[in-house]
Amino acid sequence: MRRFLILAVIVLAILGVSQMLPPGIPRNETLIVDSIHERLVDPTQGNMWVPGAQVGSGLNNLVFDNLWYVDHGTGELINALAADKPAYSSDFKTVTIKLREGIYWSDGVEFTADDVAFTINYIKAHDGLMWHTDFVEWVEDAYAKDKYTVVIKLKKPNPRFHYILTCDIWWGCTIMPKHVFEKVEDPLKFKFWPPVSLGPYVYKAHDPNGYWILFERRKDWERTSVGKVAGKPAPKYVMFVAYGPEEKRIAAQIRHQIDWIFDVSTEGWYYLKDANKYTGSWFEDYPWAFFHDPTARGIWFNCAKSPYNNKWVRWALTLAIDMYEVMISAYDGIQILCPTHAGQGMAHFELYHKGMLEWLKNFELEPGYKPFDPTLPYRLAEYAKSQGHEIKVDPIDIWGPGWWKYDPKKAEEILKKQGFTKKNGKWYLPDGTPWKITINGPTFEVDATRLAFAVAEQWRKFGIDVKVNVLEGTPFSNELAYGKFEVGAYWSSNAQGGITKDLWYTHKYWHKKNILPIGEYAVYNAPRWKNDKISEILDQMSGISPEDPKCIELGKEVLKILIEEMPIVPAVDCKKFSPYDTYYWTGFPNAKNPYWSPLFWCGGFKWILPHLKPTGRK
Amino acid sequence: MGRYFLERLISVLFTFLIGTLILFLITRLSPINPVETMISKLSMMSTTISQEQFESMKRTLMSIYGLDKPLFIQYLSFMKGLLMGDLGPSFSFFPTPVTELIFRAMPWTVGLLTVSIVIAWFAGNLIGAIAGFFEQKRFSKFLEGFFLVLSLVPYPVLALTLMLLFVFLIPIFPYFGGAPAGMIPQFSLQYVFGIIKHAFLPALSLILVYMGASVVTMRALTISVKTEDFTEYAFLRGLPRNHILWHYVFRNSLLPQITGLTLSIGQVFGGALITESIFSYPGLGQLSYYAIVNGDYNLLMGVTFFSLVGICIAVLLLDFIYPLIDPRVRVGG
Repeated sequence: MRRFLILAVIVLAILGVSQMLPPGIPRNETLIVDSIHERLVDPTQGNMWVPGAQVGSGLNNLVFDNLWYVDHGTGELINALAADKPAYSSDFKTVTIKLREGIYWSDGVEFTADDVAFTINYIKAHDGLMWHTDFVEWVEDAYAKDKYTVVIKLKKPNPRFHYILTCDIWWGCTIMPKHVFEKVEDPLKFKFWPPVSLGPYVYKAHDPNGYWILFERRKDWERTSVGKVAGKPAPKYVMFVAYGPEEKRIAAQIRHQIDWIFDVSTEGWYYLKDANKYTGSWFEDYPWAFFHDPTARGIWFNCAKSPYNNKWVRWALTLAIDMYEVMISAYDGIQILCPTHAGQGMAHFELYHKGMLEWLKNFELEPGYKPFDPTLPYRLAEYAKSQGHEIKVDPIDIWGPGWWKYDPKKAEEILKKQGFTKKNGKWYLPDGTPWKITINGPTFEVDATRLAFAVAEQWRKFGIDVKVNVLEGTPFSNELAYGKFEVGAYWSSNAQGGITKDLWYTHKYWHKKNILPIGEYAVYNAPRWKNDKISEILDQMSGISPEDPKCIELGKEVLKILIEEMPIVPAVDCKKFSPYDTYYWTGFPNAKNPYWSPLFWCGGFKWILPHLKPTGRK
Repeated sequence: MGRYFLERLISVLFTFLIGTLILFLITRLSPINPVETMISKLSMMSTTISQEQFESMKRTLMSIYGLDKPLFIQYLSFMKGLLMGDLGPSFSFFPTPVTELIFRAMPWTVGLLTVSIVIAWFAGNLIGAIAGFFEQKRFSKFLEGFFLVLSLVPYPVLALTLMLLFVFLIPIFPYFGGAPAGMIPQFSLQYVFGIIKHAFLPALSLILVYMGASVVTMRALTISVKTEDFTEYAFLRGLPRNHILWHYVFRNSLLPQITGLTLSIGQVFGGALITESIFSYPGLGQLSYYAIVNGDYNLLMGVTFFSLVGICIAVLLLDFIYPLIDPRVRVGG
């Protein structure tokens, strides 16, 4: 009996060990968020200037800081460490930057122009560091004119040099503490741990196995850019936790053990919202999710391979997709339509999707044939109503301005003109062989995988023999980069994305100079689509200031050419549910209060924290 | 006897050398280039580099990682580092040494797998021997059926069932990790209990699977040994049943099982990827996965190197121990 009692006590003691936070860290003062890249394999790498350092779990979004950020709503620059926008000389060969005064590093040293000039010159001098190639290509010299003014002399004109120092989505070149790095001989081997912070939080503790990392608000938070511009970050502590697969994160949020999740599947979202009345997403009601992630998804063609090197084939395949069916079967209507090759960042949406509606409606693929279908958002709204959901706003503001017509007859006519034949309901290539398509899809992005399968189904219905090849991360991206793929459900902010109004920033990669032969690793223009006209416009844009209104007009010209040629069929957004739990905290960004996007893993997380409010629950 | 040991030692050393060469070639023949993979990821995060800058960055990192040298020089460099106990830096978590990442993960894997395998082996063989010895009894048939089913259940199904039951439906075990979240490693009863709690479900899943196989095999072996002449003779001599079971049958049935145990323990350095993934438990399996998907040759070489060492040592120990356990195995006999 005594032995049994001792055993029972031990079992109870083991089961009773239940702790989520380190001793002395109160839950109601801690914001617990998802670690987007899961476990931090090397949690003590604080040197963000070494390629490969993990981003998304506190360093880029709480500890380090940038001169400017791109406002996720307006697409305009926010002055952070900089006191004003960059001042360019008329020849765009000199940039003068005024810095905000009264900013301090977490070790008490004042942040000055010396830090900025040092960062640029130091990175330029050390091959292998992030942004080294940028500074070697552009910077002649950088120096502090006075304590709060930096002057950068450029080797050649560049009206957009400041983009390198701007955090647009994930990060930009963050500023180094001169007083630390000037003593470092080999920065590639320096781990900078724990890091001296310029942001509003400092490192507090971590799990050696990388499952969690904790940051504490700086006592002198008012001496940071966030403190000066946006006010006091509300949570005293922010903890990034790697819960693992979706089901664990959902269970944890139901138990109020994680305040903000990166993303969940549609099925996961339905379960979570029913199980936890405190859970919210972007929209209060259907379709809930945030549709303005800066990167969009599409069906990419390898334009260096036949028959996808023919724009008419690409257009025929576009017209063979019934996007209404794709939206319902793959997403239950919870997605946004991307008719153009711009991103879906909020500014892009207004300018390059809604803002091009009239042109889209009037666009003629052939004389007299207008392929755009503006009725789709309204049909999706009808679908939503049939499912018992209420739609309170203009469907265009939810699903976008429309998409391309489902017109298999026109598609057939186009293909036959190109020498394709159809026998017994099956398509044959001009050389007489059966037309077979392999669509690459990833194992790790469920929305992209669903797009691949849904489009495959559409093309099968049209009479093409289609199979989907689902690949792990690196083989999936290698197929694209080496040009081995035929067709794939890919995405990239460097092809169909963007958050700044200046489309040159992301679409410059469509320039023909970026095209490499099949077999060579292409980082940009992986569809290997060559167009002289677009390259000319991009060259023209590169020479004018992004503030020039002409830039937006030229950006629209770029999109028009992309639509005429369709090297990628733009489809949907990289949408996110990003469920937040309002049990301990409120004030998360959403459609009613869209002060920022919910992309807390990106560099702008620090701008969200002052908006949060504790509920007072213990 | 001395010659036997020397032969075994040379054989294992030869296996080790061939093994490292194969490991080196397999990882280097991978179609994944770690530098391209890394820069490509960076470019997805909207850095501002151009294609020319990409090529320049690639050349620099290939040189820093030593991947720009001929394969033979890379192999010599690897072997030289190996002799010095240096497996080089991880490419995907540069500049952290591979050994640091491995030694951080190894205690969790080795602890979990060794304990699970040993418990499953002892319990499985005991139950299997009893079930085999009393093969006609009802409980023996029940045990055979139960463990046969258990051994045939796919491991992920078993592990996910345990997870569903004891993490989601009856939430008494944690979602992830090897120790309580928020707790810094320390020598305290609470921390030790925390480790046991986190390891319990992964260990239980492994024990059940290993046990299923052990029971079924041991039962069959016992039934076979029971019909051997020397066992029949023991029965005829009127020796007590328990004595026959443990001294005649069990001992003779155990020999193949010892081989299995030793090889299983030798394999613990390979990690348990599925267990670690399902239970989000730290260990070498997940580290191998990171290495494979990122094309981190050094890290993958490091993990597989320790696995190779573990198996070589296990085989060597087996060769040394076997003659001592089994009188029938005699060198030159």
